[in-house]
Amino acid sequence: MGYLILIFWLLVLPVCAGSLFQYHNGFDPGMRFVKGQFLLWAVFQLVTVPVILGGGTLETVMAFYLPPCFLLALLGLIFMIRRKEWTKIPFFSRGKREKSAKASAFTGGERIKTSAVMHGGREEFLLLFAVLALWLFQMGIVVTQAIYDGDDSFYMAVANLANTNGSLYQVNPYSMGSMELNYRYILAPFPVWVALLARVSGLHTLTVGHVALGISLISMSYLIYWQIGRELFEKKVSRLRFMLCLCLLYLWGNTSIHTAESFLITRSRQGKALVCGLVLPAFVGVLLHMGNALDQKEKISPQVWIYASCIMLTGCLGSAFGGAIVLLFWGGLNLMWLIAYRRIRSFGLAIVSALPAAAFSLLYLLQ
Amino acid sequence: MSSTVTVWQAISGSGALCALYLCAVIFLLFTEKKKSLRILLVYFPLLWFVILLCPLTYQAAALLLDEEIYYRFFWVLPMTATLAYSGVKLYEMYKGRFRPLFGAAILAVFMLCGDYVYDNWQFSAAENEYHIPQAVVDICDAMHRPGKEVVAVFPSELMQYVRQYDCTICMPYGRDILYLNMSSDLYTLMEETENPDAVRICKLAAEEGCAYIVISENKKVRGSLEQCGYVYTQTIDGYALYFNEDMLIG
Repeated sequence: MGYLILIFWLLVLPVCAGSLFQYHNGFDPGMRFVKGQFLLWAVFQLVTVPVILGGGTLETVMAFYLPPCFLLALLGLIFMIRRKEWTKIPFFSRGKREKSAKASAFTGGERIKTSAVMHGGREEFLLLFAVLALWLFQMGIVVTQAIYDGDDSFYMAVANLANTNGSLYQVNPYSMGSMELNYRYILAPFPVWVALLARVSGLHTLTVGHVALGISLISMSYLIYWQIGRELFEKKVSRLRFMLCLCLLYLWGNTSIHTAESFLITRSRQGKALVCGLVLPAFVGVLLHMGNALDQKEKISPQVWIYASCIMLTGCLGSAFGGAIVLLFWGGLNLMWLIAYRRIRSFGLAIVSALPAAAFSLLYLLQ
Repeated sequence: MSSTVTVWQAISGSGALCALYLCAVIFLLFTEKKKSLRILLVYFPLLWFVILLCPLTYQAAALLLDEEIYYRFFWVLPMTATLAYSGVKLYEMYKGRFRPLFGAAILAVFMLCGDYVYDNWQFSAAENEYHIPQAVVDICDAMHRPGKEVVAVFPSELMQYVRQYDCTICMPYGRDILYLNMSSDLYTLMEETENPDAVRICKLAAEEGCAYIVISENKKVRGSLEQCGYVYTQTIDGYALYFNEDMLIG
């Protein structure tokens, strides 16, 4: 039962919340999940830090976080129903496609098209198979292999303390006694999110951290890279080639313990992995999307700024320092774009979208 | 300069994948037509890299933040995405008859320049759903008193897992003792390899309020731990448990 609840929290809720954003590539459950998860993480960061600073407990966090979380998911669900977005799911739109295929075949163009699709389709199928096999292999390792990391004695113990007696950064997680207020940890309450998942699912924090988050976050990282591939390549086959390269670069990315790939695979339950494995790649995806819009002299949708803001807040949730890195990345690149494209309005909006995360980073620097 | 170079060397390992990344950036510098992509994947990373290698940046970061985490600035370089993108772009530029071999060669170069993540020492077969040693689970379950906190002293190979699994079990010291330059006579004694004095262990453990002493069966101690109020209860997964009821809290 606990695993089913986790599926609801780690999959269903983010997909529903992600439906608040608009999509132009069909139903796109992957991106709904990614955007929804970043949105929920941003809300969690905004709610949790003040609660911790006010001396609250996990129960207080839940009291303040669950209502907006469910409200966002519900609103997303309503949006999905009102826009009749289920019709974009291939299964439901099959009738329409068959009709148009018949019409096209009548004109004689279908034979050529089918042959081309089948030719490209073989390579696509093989690439898809290879990518899925490598992903499944990684998921198998996540479940069957234990990964040692010394820092777990802090982060996982903090999560376990929060889940067991509700205390948030008040008890020394290493041994016993009280803990000094340390802003570096308080401003990045990712372990509290792990504790919340353990509390609502009834599973042990270690099971949630080592198994469920490993599966969820590594998979989410691949979905983010799929989105990057979509921004980089028009053809699906090219995106699959990109994904295959990426899977191998991940698997062979352990050139040192400090690489983003090593962090994501070996420490997926720690906030630092969230920053390097999900936040920064998601940022690259957003920046590619914005860059495409700038190249084509199109307006950048307000949703993109909101999404970027959520990613920056998630950077703060993962690591106080991570939030600062993300802001520097965002600021530096937008400054370069200002020079290259002279779009002052975009630069202004970039500053506005960074303000919530900047507040947390400023607090970290000034403490 | 040396500090920034040291950080970079620590991240890049053998340096082969980073050299390949540099090649990919140069390749994109000459082949990429889209302005936004050139800025994101070429100009910005080059500028970022130069800024990070500047000793002044390192000093400023050390002053404002923590120099130990300086390496995280390098995460901003979109290395993986750039390598994969360049790889696909290069493959698609080649239209010759050995295209499949060419593609395989690109993938092989990625693998040869990198280092396989799952063959490092951090991985071991999971013994349970918690992914921690089963000995910790069994010992903590044996010690657990519902609604009460229990203080216990563990050998260093187990101590870091204890409170991850059960935070009602407290310890006189945890993993922080290894890197925070803390000192503890009990820790020194527990980790002593040359027959530590059992009476001294018991005395120090009692001073710290430990209800349990957990000691490896393979550890030979001088004298008996049962001399000062601790009673042998059982051996679990190769670790002997000694209990002192007077030390239970509450």
